Amino acid sequence: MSNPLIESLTRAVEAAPGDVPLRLHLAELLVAAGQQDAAITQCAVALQHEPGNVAARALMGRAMAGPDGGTSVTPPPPEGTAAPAAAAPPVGPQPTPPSDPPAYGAPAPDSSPVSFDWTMAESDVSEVAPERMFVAGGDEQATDVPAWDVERTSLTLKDVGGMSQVKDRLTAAFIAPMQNPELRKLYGKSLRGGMLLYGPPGCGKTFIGRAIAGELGAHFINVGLADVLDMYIGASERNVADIFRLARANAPVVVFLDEVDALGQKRSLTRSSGMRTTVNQLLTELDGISGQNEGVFVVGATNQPWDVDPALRRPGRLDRTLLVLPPDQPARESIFRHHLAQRPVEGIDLGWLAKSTDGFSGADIAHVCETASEKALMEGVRTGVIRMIQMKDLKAALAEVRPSTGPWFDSARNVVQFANEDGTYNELRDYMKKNRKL
Amino acid sequence: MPGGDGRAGDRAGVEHAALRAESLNSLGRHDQALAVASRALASDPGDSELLIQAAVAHLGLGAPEESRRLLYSAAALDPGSARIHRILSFVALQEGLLAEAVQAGLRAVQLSPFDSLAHAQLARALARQGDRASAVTAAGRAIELAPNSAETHIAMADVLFPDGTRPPKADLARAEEHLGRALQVEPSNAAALNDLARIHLARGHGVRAAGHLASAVRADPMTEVMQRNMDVVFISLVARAHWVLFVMWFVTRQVFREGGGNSPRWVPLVLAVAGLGIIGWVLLRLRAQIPAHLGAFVRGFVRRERVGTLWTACLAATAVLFVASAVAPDSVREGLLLWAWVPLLAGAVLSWVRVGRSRRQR
Repeated sequence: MSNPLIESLTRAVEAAPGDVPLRLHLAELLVAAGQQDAAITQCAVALQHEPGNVAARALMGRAMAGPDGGTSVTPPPPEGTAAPAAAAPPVGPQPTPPSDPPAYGAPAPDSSPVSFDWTMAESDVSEVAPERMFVAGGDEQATDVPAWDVERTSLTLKDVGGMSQVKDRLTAAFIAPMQNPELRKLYGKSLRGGMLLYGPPGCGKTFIGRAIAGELGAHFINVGLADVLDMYIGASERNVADIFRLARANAPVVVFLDEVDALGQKRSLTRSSGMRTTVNQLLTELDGISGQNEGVFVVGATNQPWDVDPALRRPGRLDRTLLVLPPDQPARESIFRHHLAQRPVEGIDLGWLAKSTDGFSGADIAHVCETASEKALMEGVRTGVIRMIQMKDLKAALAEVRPSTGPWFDSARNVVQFANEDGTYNELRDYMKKNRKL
Repeated sequence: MPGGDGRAGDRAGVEHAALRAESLNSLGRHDQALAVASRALASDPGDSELLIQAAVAHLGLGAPEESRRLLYSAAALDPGSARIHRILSFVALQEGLLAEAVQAGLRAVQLSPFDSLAHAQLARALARQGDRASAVTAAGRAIELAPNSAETHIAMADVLFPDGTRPPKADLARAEEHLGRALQVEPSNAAALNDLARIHLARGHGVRAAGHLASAVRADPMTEVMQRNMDVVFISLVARAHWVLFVMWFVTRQVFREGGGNSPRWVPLVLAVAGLGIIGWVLLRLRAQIPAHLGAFVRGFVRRERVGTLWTACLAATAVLFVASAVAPDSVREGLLLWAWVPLLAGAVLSWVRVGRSRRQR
């Protein structure tokens, strides 16, 4: 369903993302062409730029009302009536009064107040849902596909909202030397290295790992504990060796070791000899034999750096550490913007939200946005009136969601106070002192 | 044979979950371990390893009853496992079920007579039951089986100096010797350092005990027991200083009062020197033993020990009043000395409150 005018306008909008009238014009055409989803996205972006734009809101309402002007959510019929056409409009603004029967037909006469026909909706989307990967009779877990995907990531540090300190440190300590081969050769710096990212959960360590790979133009291998651990003797070590073999074959590559504390936990804490030999194998692979690791950058991420075997942090291994703290105010604003970008929103005060969410992790903010969406959606289901996500939904969600980083700082306090002789956690200590967490 | 492959896949998943749960338990992340084990148990409720890991997680989360229930289920599934009975003995001991702990310990030893950990656990259970001779024999056997294991030496120390007892000096010396060996094997073994501190505290060497506890906390900052034990050491130091000043004040008031009821000038001077001297000496020695973290321990003490903090404040107020009476003119000297009685008495009352509370907590 390609329309040259729409394609041309889409390119124009991409070239001038801040041009709201142009974007609305495109949205208008998309609605006319029956491409409601794309129209809603355009309207949402327009509303991000100008939350009070009446035309955008009206157009959003039309787009949401569906191709027939109906809605996918049918208003509940008043008591004793069965025909939706006779239903009085519910209280509150309605983007476009439905003139025709709803897209999914009339509600069943015995329907409950919430009369959305989920079965019908699911059958409608079944055509676009992906098919099962394996046909019946095959074992879904048995596959010849390698367990580890070598990815190409287009993310860069520019995609990481806020966190300027983290980005500066990453650039200075890791990325700049790798990106400047001449300087690197001049100073005799090898094209290998490791870094340990640590901080409270949900603050973007994995995202930063991907961004490092993108920034270096390297491949990306994400390794979790589940990819390595194996019950059978020697299998976990073999898995570690396989990962590094794959990495060397795909250099330059960033090997991202998620939950490195579990994978490379202190051997003094490990009762299982299997885990100990796995840590030993990891150390061997990190050292590489005769410079085999050229072009292999290992980035470990952990919430509990104090449980990581000290041997993993010796020079040549994960010898640089970077604290990834909960996002600062600009970062929180970016994260809110990101999570609300594809949703129908109006009148959102991102500045207020960012200011009110001090101590929230990125995951917490995502949860706030999700909760707010649920609230708006459920109200739509209940009343039959589709409406956009508003500040009141986000405020209500904020009242429910508590920052998840508190327990992490409680644990970290013990380490910072009593086990920081070598100054490893000085950065964390300074942050905690500054934020009265110590 | 797809079905067979599927079962193999399920099996691998369960085994993987058990490994993961064990790893999380060993890191002290019992809530996560329980989540992993519970999810896997939903698909395979008959896996004894998963039951063990769930039991360990429950124990770590402070639910020994549930832990014991799961261990009995695991033992029913795998009755020949010495490990299950050993852990069961440990859990029963935590709950104070001494006969059950001994029985499970004996079963573990029968099933695996060359397992040093089983003998060590049996020794602990026997010691708590009061059968000291058998406990020492069991701990000795554990050391014979694994002479280079810190765990067996710590078990012997626990047998010689069980918690809440006052053993003879010879036993304390033997316990100290075994802990020394444990620390030779693992210099930063937090349990051994903690036990060494207990021995020093029993001998009345509070400051030295504080030094060992500081090392234990440094080795394992996440376990709060050592920090609480440091509070006990602080309390014992405050108690000793308080009672010394209390007795000095009482004696000097009774013996050295002049005809008019006033104390001679040198009395407040002696009290002031004693007060400042005791407090200063303790602080200096603590500073020497805990050079880096004294402030952090004191802050923790203030946060956890309200009564202890008040008691310390009373002690400080007493010392201040002694000093004030020593330098004050004769007209107010006696009044200030009398006022010093108030914080001294308040401290005494607080000491009784503290003792009552700790007894209730036990």
